[in-house]
Amino acid sequence: MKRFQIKKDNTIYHLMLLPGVIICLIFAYGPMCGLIMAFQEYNPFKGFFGSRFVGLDNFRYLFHMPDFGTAFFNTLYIAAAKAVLFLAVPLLLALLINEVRSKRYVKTVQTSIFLPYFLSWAILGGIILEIFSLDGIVNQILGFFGQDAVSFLGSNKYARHIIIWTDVWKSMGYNMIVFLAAITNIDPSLYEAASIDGAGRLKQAIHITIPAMAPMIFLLTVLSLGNLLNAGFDQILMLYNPLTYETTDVLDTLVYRIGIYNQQYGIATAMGLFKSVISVTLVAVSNWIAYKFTDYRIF
Amino acid sequence: MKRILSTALAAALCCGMLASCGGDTGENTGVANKNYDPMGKYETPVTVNCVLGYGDPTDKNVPKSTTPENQAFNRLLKDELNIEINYLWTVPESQFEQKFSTAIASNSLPDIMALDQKNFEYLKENDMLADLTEAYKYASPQLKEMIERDPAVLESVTQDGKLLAIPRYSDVRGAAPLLWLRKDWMDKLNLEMPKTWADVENIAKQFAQNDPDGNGKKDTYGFGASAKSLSPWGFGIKPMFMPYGSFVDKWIDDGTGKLVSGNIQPETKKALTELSRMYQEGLFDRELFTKNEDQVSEDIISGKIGLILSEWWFAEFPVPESITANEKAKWVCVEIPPLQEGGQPTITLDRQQVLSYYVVNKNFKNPEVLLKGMNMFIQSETTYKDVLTAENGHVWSWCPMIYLDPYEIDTTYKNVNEAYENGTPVTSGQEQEKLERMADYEAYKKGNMAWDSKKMFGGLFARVDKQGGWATAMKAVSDSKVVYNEFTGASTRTMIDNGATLEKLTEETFIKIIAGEKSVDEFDKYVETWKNLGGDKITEEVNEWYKQ
Amino acid sequence: MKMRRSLGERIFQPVNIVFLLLVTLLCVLPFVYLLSVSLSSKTAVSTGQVFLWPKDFTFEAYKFLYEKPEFLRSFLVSVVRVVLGTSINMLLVVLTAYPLSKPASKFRAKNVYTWFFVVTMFLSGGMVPTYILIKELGLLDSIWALILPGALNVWNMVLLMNFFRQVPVELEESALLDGAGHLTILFKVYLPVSLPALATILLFTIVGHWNAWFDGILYINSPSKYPLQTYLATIVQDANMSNMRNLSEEKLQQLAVLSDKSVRIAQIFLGALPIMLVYPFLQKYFIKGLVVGSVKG
Repeated sequence: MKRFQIKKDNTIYHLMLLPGVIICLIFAYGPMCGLIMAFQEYNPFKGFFGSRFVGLDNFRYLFHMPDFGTAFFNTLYIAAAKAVLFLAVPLLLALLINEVRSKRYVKTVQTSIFLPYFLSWAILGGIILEIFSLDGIVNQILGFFGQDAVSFLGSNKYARHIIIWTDVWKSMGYNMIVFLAAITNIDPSLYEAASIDGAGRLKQAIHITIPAMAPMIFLLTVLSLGNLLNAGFDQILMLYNPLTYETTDVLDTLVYRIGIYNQQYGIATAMGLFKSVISVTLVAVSNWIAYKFTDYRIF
Repeated sequence: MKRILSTALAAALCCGMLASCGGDTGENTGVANKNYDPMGKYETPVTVNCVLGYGDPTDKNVPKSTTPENQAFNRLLKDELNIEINYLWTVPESQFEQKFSTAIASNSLPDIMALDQKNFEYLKENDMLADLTEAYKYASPQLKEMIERDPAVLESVTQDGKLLAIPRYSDVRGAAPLLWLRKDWMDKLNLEMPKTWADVENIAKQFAQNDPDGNGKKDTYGFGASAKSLSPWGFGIKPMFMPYGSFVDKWIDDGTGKLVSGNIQPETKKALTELSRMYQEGLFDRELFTKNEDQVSEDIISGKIGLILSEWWFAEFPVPESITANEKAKWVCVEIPPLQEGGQPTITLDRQQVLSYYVVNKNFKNPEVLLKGMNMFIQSETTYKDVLTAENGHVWSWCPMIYLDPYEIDTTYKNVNEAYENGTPVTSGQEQEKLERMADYEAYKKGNMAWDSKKMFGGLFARVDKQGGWATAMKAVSDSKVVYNEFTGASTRTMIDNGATLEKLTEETFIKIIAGEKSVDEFDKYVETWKNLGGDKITEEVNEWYKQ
Repeated sequence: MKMRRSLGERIFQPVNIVFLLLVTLLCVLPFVYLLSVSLSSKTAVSTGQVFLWPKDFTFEAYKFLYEKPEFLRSFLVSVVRVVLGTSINMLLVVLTAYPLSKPASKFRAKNVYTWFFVVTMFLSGGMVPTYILIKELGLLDSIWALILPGALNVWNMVLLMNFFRQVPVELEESALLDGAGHLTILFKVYLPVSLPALATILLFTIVGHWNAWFDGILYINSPSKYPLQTYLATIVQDANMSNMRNLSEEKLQQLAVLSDKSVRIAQIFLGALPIMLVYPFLQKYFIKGLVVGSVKG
């Protein structure tokens, strides 16, 4: 009886997936044929079939760029820091907001934290440069405490941290909402039972809220690993400068500057492919590890 | 707005018909074409596929309903020449480069285009450009005269006897850097006009330290500049190397007929030493390394910067904005003084300055459309001045074919001044407009009239004033020792492969030396690295080109 | 023991509230700044006198926009895009997330499908091949070019799939016993208990469609059909001098017009406004989810 049902299920499952599969096949897998450019000296007027194949030359070119090492390290550093903070900060905020009793206050806080998400780096870049400039507000506050003015964005000591934290500030609303949705999904009877047992708010958070959100946290962690080579191109382009290249130049900005020089389609594609392969691998591995340790399969 | 690319693709039918009418380009539309009639009308409509990057019209009289498609010029093209412009796409100007790169990458080029040098070289290399030798015969004598004023320019786009582009270029003298000063600040601090570079340094020091705006706050800088990159679009630091005889990013003749890169010469080390010292002494805006052009111009407008090296157009932007914000602001410009009193100022210029390359897709059957369109364009202020008006929907920067006299500013300068002094006639509408505002401008200069931003005094200050931008630039070129950038060829193989790496190395090293984060001795190491990273190879390639 | 805990809590509450207030300010102040710039005179803005309060208060910038036909026109394009795009996105996300939320024991091909989708999150053919594809499909210059390529948002699908898996199996089994088909189960059982997740995804989808601008530049051939954010992005970038590589004299006159920062900022502000208005409304459903959850318990 049960077996029979399972078989019957599958047809409808396939049918439900069909529209999504078609869209993906056309619009995601279709263009992937273009990845062949990574192995070509691509010439648009000759097309994919007429362009010369160069094997792994494009990759060799990438890896031998003198600044590749620095940029690679900076990319990992910035992206990893962002990945961790993109989870930790919104999680903390979600937990704290959950403790506030006034519904109206919760609503106000929630709404405001999501706001910076709407502003593009083209706008925010200018504002941040102003805030951290020598006569900007940060230095004015430091001056109030008798500190000398610091050129934050001209200094290798601070620039990278400013890049990391301003992005956390801008994006924290997004994950916070996912976490809040997860929290509201927790069965309130669990809390009632716990408070009858005399557990305080902190204990409830540690023993009920966080475990209940574990799948969501895992999910976001694994997905964020896929972005480990994306350090935030738009943002860095606005905030970096030659004085801080050693700490802020990332793969994307490096390739961007090279791209200015000529139509190097092959190299740009090779770069993209390199990043994608690492991302997919990381996601697959971390998905497997998460399953090993928690028995929860994300995908 | 100005990068107008256009292209024409004769609709399949038209092509077929025209092609069948005659073998060679010259004959296809009968009588007129045999004589290469510059304004010969086609018997059947010729459709031309174009693309356009454009901005809002600056002239307020242009009706709001005007679009690139229905602009006056395109209607006139249809009426007079039977040419129909079809836009494959139109984008706001800032998106043009992106959109056009995509068009190249997906092999969907228009038929007539205006290219930058990079794309011109690329399409040339890939044999996508039509030979315009035959089509060029349609150029009217007036147009030919403009194009051939500097014969070297046309030569530079001819390859194996094929004319591959109609280059729009500008007078290189316009690129001469000038020293711009806030005269009101200098008067307040009792400073004299500088005679030597040391005087300039002194002014920078006074401006930075002695509160020239008298607001009691230490909120003004010495030199203003943008050094977020070595080559910003304006307000860069490269001109500051020139007094020391150092020419960054230029290929100069070393006197023996060999080209060398200005970057690695001992003079550049000297310049870096001095600039670094000046930075230590607080003569610069301390934040020049994090500021881009936008931030620098905001500083200029808000009255934090009163000393900057820039070109003649500085009078047109941002000087007017600066005066609008503070009517006491008064700017003057002079040539950059030499290091020693009595010495000769030194500047560097490019041999030629091509603004854009008008080319025709080699698959397009009527390349002469480009020339005919240009013939018509250059008559916009004469023959067609009553049709091509702003009220009628004419926005010159939107036109699919544009040709402006490369020496237009110089001509304007001479004609308007002469007309103002001797009452001689002017030759164009825009000269007439300037002439009409001259009396008010003179009154402003004498202090009898307030600055009126509606009267566009900035344009007069930049182009007509005898102490203004253009006049001073001309003086600078004739007074100075001019060192030319002799390399006018296409990017060489190694430039393409290693250019970005070398550029980053140069930018990082120079800026860190000036900021004091690296000692000047690092320069020698830089020279070694530069050579090893492909600099030597590029030098070889450049010299090979130079020999030809 | 009990006393001490409540003391800790009594301290925690005000501290928490103050802390969150600071975070809130940190996020709101830039908007206050932008608003006050948009309400200040051009001169006050360009000389950097505006901070958190407008100087030389004026509605000039908004009046200018009101008279600009492009703003309203692109606003309408955006509305169409959001309505059409969001409906398709939500339908596809729900349809795909449901089967994939089943355990592999019930739906054996599940893992293959999942990876089929997940790979597309990290691997893409790049801009140029995608452009060629859209062109070949004849979608250039049509609103479908903005909707179809992203019609299935895999990220949201994975989120929803994980939410669905937390729905108790018993609910589904009892519905099955009542003879309900899978579509009925999906719409009558799963969706009602997943309101918070759906509201979240709906919000992201709306925001995503509203804020997307680059595809507009790429696939739309004339500014008269641009969605709002594409139009806004071009305004911001047109005024950004650092984007101008070759300065030609013609640009100079343009610069004076473009340097009008108040108008630019006013447009950005108006561009973000609709989402700021939608957001609190959707937020209601996060809280409603709580209520539904308790009924379920």
